[in-house]
Amino acid sequence: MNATLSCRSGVATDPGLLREKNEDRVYADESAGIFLVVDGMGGRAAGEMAAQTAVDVIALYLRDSEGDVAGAITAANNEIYRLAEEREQWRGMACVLTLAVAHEDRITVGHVGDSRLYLIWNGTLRKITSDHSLVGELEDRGTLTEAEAMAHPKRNEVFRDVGSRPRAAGDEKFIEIKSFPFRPGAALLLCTDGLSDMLTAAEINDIVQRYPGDPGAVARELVDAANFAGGKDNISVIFVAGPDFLGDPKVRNSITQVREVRSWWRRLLNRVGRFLERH
Amino acid sequence: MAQRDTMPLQGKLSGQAVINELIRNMELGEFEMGYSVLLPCFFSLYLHPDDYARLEGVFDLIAEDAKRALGARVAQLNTKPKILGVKRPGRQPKEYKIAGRDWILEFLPDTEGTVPLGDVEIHSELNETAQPGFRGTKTTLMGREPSVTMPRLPAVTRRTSEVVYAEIRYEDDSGPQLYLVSQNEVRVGRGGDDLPMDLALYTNDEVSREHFVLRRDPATRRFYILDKSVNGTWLEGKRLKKGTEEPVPDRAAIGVAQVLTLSFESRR
Repeated sequence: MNATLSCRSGVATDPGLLREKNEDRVYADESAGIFLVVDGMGGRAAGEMAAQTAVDVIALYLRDSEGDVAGAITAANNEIYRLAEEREQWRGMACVLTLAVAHEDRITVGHVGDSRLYLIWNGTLRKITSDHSLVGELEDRGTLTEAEAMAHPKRNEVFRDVGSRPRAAGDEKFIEIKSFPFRPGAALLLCTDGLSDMLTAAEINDIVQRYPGDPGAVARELVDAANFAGGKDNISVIFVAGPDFLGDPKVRNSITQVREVRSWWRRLLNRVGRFLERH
Repeated sequence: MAQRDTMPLQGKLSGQAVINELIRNMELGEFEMGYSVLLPCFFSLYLHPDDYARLEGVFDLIAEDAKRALGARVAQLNTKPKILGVKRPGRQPKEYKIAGRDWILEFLPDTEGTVPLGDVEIHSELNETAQPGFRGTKTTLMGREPSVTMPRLPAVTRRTSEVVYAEIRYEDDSGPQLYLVSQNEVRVGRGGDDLPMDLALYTNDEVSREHFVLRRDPATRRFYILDKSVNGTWLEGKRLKKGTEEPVPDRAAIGVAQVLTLSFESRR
């Protein structure tokens, strides 16, 4: 990441209220500009194993290859597949993930599945990644509204994952790659579906716009809100604020503007009350 | 800030009853500040499915009438403090106002079976909010308890039937995007800290912070476009005159400062 465009990030991950284990993994390296959320899938320990493997392989791969996002995810895929073939208990394990890598003033995103990357810009929040699921495609096309999609029974069926079969480098039907300029006043939010299944984009945006200057506070507040809404799955969030990102100052001011103005007679009564207390 | 109250009513639901209830709800939802009193400006009205079907064709007309009535009530509140026709001396009275630019009313069929025939249930918010689906969450903003009756239901469960008037597809620096229009005015531009847009384009500063405005006429359901930019707006290849409103065809290409093009499609 370019030094002039240093951004600050905060991370939060939580098993949620219904799951015993946290099969999500997050990885954020501010100085290298690498941000990754992973949602593991598979029975017993396998989901955690898949997610951890993805983090380990991608972090290592990106250390040696400048920003080869697709290469890193392909390497993770093939390593997860290899491990799953090796041991019965890991058979069928896989994960979905969203990886954002900052290079100079651009962000490159590599994405597989239904975790998400949002871009926050001038008060609005937009989803950059597509959801690789039937419900997600219908929502992206405008056939389903957000509320309908959130309530859909097939919401969690993804048709792309990392690790269930070997992939060749450059497989176009595997990784969605996007790249866009990262403006200093913008912010990024990466999350697993444990957040976006519980909160609407509007609810997420409301919390983000109240940015108190601490990205970690935003991440934790989002996780708390998802738990408050039911916490049905593991929840993971990385919030990355550009150097000039302020949130919506109007939202913050509206809190400080609220104050009580007392009438003169009430002030007088108070004064009399205090006088009587003293004597 | 949500107010929720149901109004028991015999027989058929009349437009006047809806408007009276709106005014009552607005006054219950007032939020007093130092020098002014904010009133809710965004109302969701839930009707029994039969009432909804019966009145569906005239919602726009009810809304127009209701907006006049709400506006008149606010004007009345702002002229009140007089005793026997004499202005009360002393402190400036607080100004009653709304946070949004205009009242927004949305009519929705009740899908939970909680609103009986002839009733209307109203949820109101202090803020008008920007995007489709971006509503109803301002309740947590100031952490105030609802001041009347029952607790508010989570906004998500109820917002399954938002009406989409049009869709706008475009590609800015963040990639291809789809914006669903569910309000009567859409402000489009690059936006800024103190200039929030309904549709904030992620692009360079050749695009004005507020570039153009789309307005929907609820009576005719037609859209109009108004250029407010420095570098110009094109409708179907023709440059618009700044400050002059033009009707928008049901399908149209809107050029923004020769930087990007939005595909507009009405869902009439």
